[in-house]
Amino acid sequence: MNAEKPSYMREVLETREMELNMGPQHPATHGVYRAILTLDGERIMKLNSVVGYLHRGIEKWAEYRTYQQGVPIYDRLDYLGAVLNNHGIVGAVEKLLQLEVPRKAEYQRVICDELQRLASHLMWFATHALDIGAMSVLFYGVREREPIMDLFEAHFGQRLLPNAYPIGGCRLDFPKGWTEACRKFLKALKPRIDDYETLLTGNRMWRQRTIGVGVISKEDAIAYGLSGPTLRGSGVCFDVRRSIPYSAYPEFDFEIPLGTNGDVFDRYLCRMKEMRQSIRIIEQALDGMPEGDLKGKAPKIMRAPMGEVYFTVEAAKGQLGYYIVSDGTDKPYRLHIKSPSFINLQGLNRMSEGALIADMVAIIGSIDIVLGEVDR
Amino acid sequence: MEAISKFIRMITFPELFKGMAVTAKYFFQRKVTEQYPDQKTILPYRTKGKLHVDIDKCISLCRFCEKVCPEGCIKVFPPPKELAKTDKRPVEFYINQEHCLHCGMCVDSCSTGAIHHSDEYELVVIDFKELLGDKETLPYDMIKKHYRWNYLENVPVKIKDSPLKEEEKSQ
Amino acid sequence: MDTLLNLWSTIESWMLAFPVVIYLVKIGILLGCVFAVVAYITLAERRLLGFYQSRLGPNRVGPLGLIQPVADGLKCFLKEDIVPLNSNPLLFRLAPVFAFFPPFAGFAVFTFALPWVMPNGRTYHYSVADVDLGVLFIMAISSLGIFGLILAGWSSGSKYPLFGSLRSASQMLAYEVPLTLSVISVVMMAGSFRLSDIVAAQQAYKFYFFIPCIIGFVVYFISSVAEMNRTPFDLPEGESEIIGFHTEYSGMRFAFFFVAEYANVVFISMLAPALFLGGYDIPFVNDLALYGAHPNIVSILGVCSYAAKSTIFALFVIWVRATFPRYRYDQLLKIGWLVLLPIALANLFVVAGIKLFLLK
Repeated sequence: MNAEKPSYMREVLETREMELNMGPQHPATHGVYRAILTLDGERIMKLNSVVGYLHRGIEKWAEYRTYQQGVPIYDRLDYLGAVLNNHGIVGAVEKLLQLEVPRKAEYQRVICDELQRLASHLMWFATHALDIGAMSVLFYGVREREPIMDLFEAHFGQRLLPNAYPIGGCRLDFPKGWTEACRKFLKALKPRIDDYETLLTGNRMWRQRTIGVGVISKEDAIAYGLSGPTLRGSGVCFDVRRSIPYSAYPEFDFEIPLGTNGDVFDRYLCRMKEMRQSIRIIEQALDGMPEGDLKGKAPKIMRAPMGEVYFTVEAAKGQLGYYIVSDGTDKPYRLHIKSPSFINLQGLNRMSEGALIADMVAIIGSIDIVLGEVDR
Repeated sequence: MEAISKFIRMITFPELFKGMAVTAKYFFQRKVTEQYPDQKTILPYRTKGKLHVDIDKCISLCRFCEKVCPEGCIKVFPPPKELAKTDKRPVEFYINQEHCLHCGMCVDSCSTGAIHHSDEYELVVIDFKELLGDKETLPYDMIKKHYRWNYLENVPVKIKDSPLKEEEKSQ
Repeated sequence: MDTLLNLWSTIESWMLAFPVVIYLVKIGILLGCVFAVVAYITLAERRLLGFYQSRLGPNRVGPLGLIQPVADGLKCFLKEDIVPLNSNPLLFRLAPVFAFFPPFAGFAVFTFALPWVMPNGRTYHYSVADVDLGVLFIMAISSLGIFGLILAGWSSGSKYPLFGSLRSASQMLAYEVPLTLSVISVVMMAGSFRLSDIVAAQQAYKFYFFIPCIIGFVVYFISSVAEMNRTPFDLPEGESEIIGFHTEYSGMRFAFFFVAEYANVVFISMLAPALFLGGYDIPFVNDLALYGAHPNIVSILGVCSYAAKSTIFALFVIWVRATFPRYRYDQLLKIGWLVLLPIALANLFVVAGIKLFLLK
């Protein structure tokens, strides 16, 4: 940390550092995250993260539930990307039980996953812009997210926490008219994203607030174990969908947007481009939807073999991993969740070196944390 | 030349005006607000609302719903053995809607379609005891509201006198 | 009709005997109007922001939400008033008054239209005190408003408000200077500090001062947005960073700050038309020629024209708020000192040149 004060300050004025509690109740921390800032004026000298205010003991909770019973609770980790969390745990259990998932179910999962990624990114976009002060964008983002929630409600029956997939496949085919509604929504979304880019990307205020702020280098990003757009903003090409392929992702053609400088603006651009790629994937999946069985052959009582399994998906915030140790019963012996928000949050210390309070807010927004996932 | 155009862009704020044009565009577009208590949206057919049980249909001995519920908010009391041969209906059936996640796994596992979601979503109560359903309160008032029969299509159930529209049934 | 006129002349003779009564009546009318406008500009902003954001805004209280300001006021009035233990109680209680009073005092020097002529030939001016140094008075009084903010942040005994007050202090310093310099350019064109003289000069020149002082107008707009503490310069109350100088305030004391902010908006958007947009001059028509026809019609049209101009200005301010993100503290100061101040100074020279060589 560059704690050197200018010489005139040392000699003439006696200044003291000030400790400021940012959170747990603060509008910009996206939940009950607390940062203890040591400030020199408005400049941050030191940052202490305090997490755990939303700890619900989900990992321990899971040890007392069967594999099927556990599925709906993982929705509550990253409550803005519930379907992706679901895909993670369902995939892990399928890997443990060596279940074959029907191809149609995989396609359906890809569609719903990408819709959820869109919803999560839109929500990030809304709140990130609000943190930096663009007020209308909040409502635009939430407005665009609404049709996705409606689509989920029509398909899964729930909007936010849908308990999307059962182990071994999918529950039901899309309802009548769903595919058309989805296509219509995607078609309407594309020009809207362009609009939002006009609103922010070119705007000099937005650029001044984000470019060169919260920089984290390639090496540091890898060393901190960051993942998702936070990592790709630094220019590291790592996307679980491409690097450790799962589900039907190898069958689709999509790009992985990368940043160069690893600042807030690059992470912002990465996510904006990722939204367009998500649209591309959904369109391909809707076009190439195969026929066939959806449910798969999942046993009603799942006694997993002894052993351990690790399965990761690319969640909206980064690499989401589930590590299950099985002792041969129908409940996991130990379940660990590698949650992307928690690990990405560790980079905050590095990113906010010498930043101002206002930058700090922008950086937290650009990491896109969800405290449900940080504290589990 | 490049520098001049950059300078002109710097002092005339074209990108700021473009941004203002975007907000102005949405100013004149249709608003998306739903004025909730006045306008209620039509929920899709698959909405997972409050749980309801058709006690007459329940065979109670399987207790699948009780076993699969992650929050343990369902309790089924099957009849004594002698009685169960003729009448399989539960002696008592409790659902704690306060703890219900609306995950739909009980509906998924029910082999007779006795337990099902309704389209009731206004579950705000003053006394939480109103959310405890028992044998008397769980069956649906068929006259008042329409039934969401068999939303997961797991069991073939005949739909009789349901006020649902035809296309909703076919879903 | 005759009895009415007789009654009026009796009242008038009484008022002439005690001239202070005229002032009191004028102040009463002015404050009433200003309070009503301030109350409704809060509603207008919330509704319009809603429209910009594709929602409806508050429309539940009364038809179109028109009773919303009353409901807001009542809510603030009935809320508990909290004085934090850590605070300096006297200053904490004084600060809202300091913030509240200046924008309302500033309205005193405005002239809203050409004088109203009574049937008996006596004229009444649409101003409380059209003093010689009106513009100076306005500049002085508008920088007083910042003291309320500084005091509020300092006396709260809490760190977030302290940041708010520090920010508002440096922001005031940075933006007061370009604001005043851009106003000075107008004063130079008109050759008077009196607001009614400035408007009269614009009528005489047959063009509004935003044409020669276009740079000054832009500088004025930007620095007045900063002066009003509104997006993109709403740093003293950057809700998402520091919660603002009024974090510790509740109930009616908070309402005072709230009203003061909107009174500032009204104040600045009424000042701008007077300085740059011709004030109560009716565009494209020669007022003075019309004045011969019937003076009272002209004065009423003048009030309408003034109101329309300031409404447009206020709407633009709201539109800006709906669109832009917020600047950072250091960037804000950089813009104030390194961009706006030189531009405002250059503008002064340009306007002086225009006045010297083109207009004489």
